[in-house]
Amino acid sequence: MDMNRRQFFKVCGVGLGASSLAALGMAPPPAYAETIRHFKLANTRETRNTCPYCSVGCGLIMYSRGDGAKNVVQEIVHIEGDADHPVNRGTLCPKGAGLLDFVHSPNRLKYPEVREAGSNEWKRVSWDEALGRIATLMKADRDANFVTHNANGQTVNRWLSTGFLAASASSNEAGYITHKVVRSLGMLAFDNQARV
Amino acid sequence: MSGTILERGQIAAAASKPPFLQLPPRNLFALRAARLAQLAEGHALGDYLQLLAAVCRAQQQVLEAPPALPFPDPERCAQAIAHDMPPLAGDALVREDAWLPMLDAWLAAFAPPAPANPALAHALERVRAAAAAQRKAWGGALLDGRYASVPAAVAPFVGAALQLAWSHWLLNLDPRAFAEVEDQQTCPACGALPMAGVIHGQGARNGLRYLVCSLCACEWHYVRLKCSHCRSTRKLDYLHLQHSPHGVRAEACPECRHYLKQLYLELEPGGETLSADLASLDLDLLLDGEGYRRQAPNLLLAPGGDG
Repeated sequence: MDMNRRQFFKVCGVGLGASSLAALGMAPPPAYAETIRHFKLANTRETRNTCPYCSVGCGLIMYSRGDGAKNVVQEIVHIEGDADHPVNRGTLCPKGAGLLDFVHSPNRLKYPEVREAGSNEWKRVSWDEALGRIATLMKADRDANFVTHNANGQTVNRWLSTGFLAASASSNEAGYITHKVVRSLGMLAFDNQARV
Repeated sequence: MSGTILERGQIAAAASKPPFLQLPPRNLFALRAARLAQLAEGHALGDYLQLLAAVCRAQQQVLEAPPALPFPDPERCAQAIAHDMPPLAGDALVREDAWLPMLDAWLAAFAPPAPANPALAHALERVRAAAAAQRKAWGGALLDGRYASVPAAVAPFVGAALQLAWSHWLLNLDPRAFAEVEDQQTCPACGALPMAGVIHGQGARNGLRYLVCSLCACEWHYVRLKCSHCRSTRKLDYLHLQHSPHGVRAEACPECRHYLKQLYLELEPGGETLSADLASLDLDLLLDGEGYRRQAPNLLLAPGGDG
């Protein structure tokens, strides 16, 4: 449609002085517009997202409060199934329906932690430390267990002693990168379905 | 929505496509009247809401016993529907005589609420005395949003007659004949702009957004979280008054600076769109202050400041 041909409507900012209300002798008292000016607008933002639990990939609508300004913390107040989403048409499984508690859970993992072999305690580590440690352990395992040839002498270049678990709600691009990284190392076992 | 008990048919509904077009119920105007009367209690604009409740009661009365009204040519309608054009195109039909008997019927049925109001009596007299050409000119201006060409005092009554005629015609159409069109921003049946949106809270349409036609009152599906004016999906705000009692939030687009008010039936289960729109004019005033513009009219109120 031609945007110029569309009509726009405006409720008069100074009040309702020229409206049908006034023309029919039913205008609110002049103080009305003044009172309204002191009301505060609240913003309950709605955002689409994908449920992180499994590879079905149900659509979600998340409601958050806070006006999105830099210093205001957005707080998620409600999560429901996205009725427009063709996969779930607004429905959610019991795990998906409990997502709000998952978001606000005090036990939610917010940083890397490590439990050393033989220990029963989780210890907080930095991201650098965590990534360095993962890389070192992966390399040690790969060096020890990498299979270059099978029993018939054919080249196979596979690494069977380590597996990789990626996210179920990843985008195509994340899936592509996952595949490239994992397969280039020779790893065969990887999965994007978080069966948790 | 989460936390609610599943209703009969809800799982089946989830496995199929929701209806694109939904006709209003036959007692639509009675529902509006009842809701307006209820909202008028203690409302700052209570007198006006009471007046409109009486307007809607008369509309219902006429809809139940309509005057002889020529129905738009069925062949033309079928052709329009087949080509995704509105069969009851408001801008064309308002220039014809077909809808005018509805205005006379409505004037005959309308009983102004007490106490006597000289401004109201004068306005009604003005509509009664107007010739057909004048009535059509008012109707056309109102549908176009040219409020400068319609006296604010007669706008609600002309609007009521227009709503009546188009709802009467609409209720004779088969909604299943309409194919779903993505991003449908004007009414598929009459081509008018949506008055507001409604987010259903029950049954097969639970959680879906429908746009409600300002003229014929049909509802059509429009994807949520998408500006109904510029189709942007980015950073939409959902603005409302703190502790607003009407379950109304305005979907405001920061890109095109337009907003559409939406009624959330989950927050206000007894709500009805037209009455909720009129009862939340305070939100329109505040949004105007913020520099947002409304994209569609409510035919029962000339806002007194067309942009």
